Amino acid sequence: MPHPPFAQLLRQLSAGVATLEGSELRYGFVNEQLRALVGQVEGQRVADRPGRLPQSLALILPQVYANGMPYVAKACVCAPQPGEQATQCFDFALDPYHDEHGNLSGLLLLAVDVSEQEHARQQAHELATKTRQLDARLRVLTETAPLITYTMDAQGRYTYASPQWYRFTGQNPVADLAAVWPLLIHPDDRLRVLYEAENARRLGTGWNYEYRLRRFDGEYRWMLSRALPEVHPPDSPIYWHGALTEIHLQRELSEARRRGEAEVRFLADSIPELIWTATAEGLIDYYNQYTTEYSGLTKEELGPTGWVGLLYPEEQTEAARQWVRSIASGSPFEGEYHLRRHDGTYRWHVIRAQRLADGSGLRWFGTCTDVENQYRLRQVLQTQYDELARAHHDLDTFVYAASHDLRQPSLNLRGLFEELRRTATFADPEQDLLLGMFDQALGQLDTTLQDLAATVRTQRQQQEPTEAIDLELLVEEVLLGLHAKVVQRHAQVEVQLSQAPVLVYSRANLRSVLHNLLSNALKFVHPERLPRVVVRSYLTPDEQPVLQVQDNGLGMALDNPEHPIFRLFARQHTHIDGTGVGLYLVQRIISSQGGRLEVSSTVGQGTTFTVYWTQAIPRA
Amino acid sequence: MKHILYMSRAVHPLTDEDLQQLLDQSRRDNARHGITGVLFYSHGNIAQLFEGEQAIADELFMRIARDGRHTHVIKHIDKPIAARSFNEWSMAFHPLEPSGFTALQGFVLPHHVPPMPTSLTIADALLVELVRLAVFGPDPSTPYQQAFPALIRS
Repeated sequence: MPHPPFAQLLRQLSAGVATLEGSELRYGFVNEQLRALVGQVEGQRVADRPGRLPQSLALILPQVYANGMPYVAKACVCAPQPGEQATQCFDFALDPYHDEHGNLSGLLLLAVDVSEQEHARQQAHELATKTRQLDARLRVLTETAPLITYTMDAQGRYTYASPQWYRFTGQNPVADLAAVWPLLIHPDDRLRVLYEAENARRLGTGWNYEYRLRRFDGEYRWMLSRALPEVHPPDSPIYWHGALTEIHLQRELSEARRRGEAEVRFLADSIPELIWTATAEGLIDYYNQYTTEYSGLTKEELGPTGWVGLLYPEEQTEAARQWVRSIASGSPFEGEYHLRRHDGTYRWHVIRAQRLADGSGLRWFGTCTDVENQYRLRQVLQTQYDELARAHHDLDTFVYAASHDLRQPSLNLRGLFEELRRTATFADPEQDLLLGMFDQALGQLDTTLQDLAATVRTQRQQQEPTEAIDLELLVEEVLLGLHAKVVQRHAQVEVQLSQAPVLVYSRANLRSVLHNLLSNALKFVHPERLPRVVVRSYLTPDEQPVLQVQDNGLGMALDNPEHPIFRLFARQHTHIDGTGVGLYLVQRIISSQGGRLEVSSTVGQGTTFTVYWTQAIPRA
Repeated sequence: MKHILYMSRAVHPLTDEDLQQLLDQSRRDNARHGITGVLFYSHGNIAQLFEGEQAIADELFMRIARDGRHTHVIKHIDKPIAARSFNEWSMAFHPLEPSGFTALQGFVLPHHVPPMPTSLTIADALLVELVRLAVFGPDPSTPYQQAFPALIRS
């Protein structure tokens, strides 16, 4: 059969074309494009050689032929080309054609490759599905999150508010958002908010501000409003999307906290005492007002460790060491130090600091209390007490001595009187009376003197009752009293009392002796080494109890006539505080009980005091 | 002359290689700029005290503050000094492999840090000591004696 003259044209068509001839639907003309679907099939029946045509199409062909009506099948999937992976999609059009007599003679098959369109359509579909899912997710998120989301247009009108807004404000869902919203802002905040939002819209930036919004129950709650513009360069933004969070509680809390802190600061600043706080690392981050007034330095000048610089130069290293130790261990800091005032004078202070946990972790809180006056008063009192005690003692001694010494003359007087009465005669009628009175007066004098001596003696005994004393307990007690000094100076005190652990003595006196000797040993320390004090108790070969206190301190010049050691108010080391009464008292106490005090010392190496408590009993 | 002390936190813990690299680079740069001082590092904690000419020290601190390898940079001291306290720049840290480090120039083990020079005021020395304590923690080999340390019974 001859091909139609436009066969050449059909061959060049980008769509596949074939004629299916007769009721048997045999392939007639098949162009190249369709041949890719069905292969070399001219003259064969479609039913026998459907190639890659979809089965549904092959099945419907006879019906189309029978109906004689055009048929279109869109986006039919065909098997992939040999050697390819992707299936192909075709739009098929079937058009009956007639011979010159008008009789149906075949079908024209037109196949247009729509793979790409179909692919794109599918992608679009997937995208739409995905978008819908995202949209749903976004909606769920925005509508369940505990914050209000909103959109504002370039004119400053609210165009969207999430359902939370309606729940919060109690407004009807059909309310005019743009009109109502500004009215719900607290009157005091309204102008500011409108101004700031307008400013941001004009500049095309976001915003971040706080205001009070009226809740459904009429209460105004603090809200944080943040928004960012939706930008599609180069156009200026037309929408602002934002979120509104309720921050009422946080704001009230921080307000309360600010107020509380301000109150504490005010208190701390108005107390005439040095108050400071430090971080857990021990760096001071706050000094109260009075600290700057006292020191005459600003907070910046004081800095995180500047307080150390206010101490006596000799005390600084020790204080610094103790502070580091406290920071490392967390144990409280306590010590007595001289603190320099703005005018350059140093005053005694008790510095105390403790680690406490406040809301934000560990912090140190410290105070420096001025104890200069107490300290001086204490010193004056101690001096006066010592002097009184001495005067009292001296008076006792005097009375005792006087009564003792006066008894002899009074006895002499009585002897002389007896002698006189025996040998002399008196020519006086009242002789007997006078003699009797004289006798009586002498007797009274004697009794008075005896009574006086006895009184002093018993008084002394009552004042100083002796007992068996556990030396170790007493030494410990005395050291506890000196604890601050021991810790402050890092002193090592070695106690060796096992050889003579018990001593019969007056407790008050023994305590006084121990206290004076130990506090001297801790006071006159050598600046270049840690103090080491040895307290030893033992018996001499003749069973005499001895106590020895040995230190490695400054030492004394024993034969210096200008600085005798046992005299009242005698002081060897005038640069160290003291009254010069201590050793004098010790000496007096010991000698009054019949003992003696020996001392050996080397300047720069240390001093040893040896107390012989009792009088040596000569051996039989 | 001035000196500056700051503390900070490393973003990532520094490895031995990081530390060695930091040591090499810093020693080179600091020697060139006349910067002396000491850097402490332990478990991400960093503290450094350095001294130098005002402008150079300020510029160095600016660079340090911008360095992305650490955060939370807090300056504790920034003040003029009359003279240097350190004669070189060194670093103190605990390497995982100490053997490779002990011979290195400018490296010291944390508890072998020499005592603070006497030209430092006690206040500054105390500050350095506190900062060292904050970085390394208390030294367990010399625990601080507690409560009533002095009474040794025979």
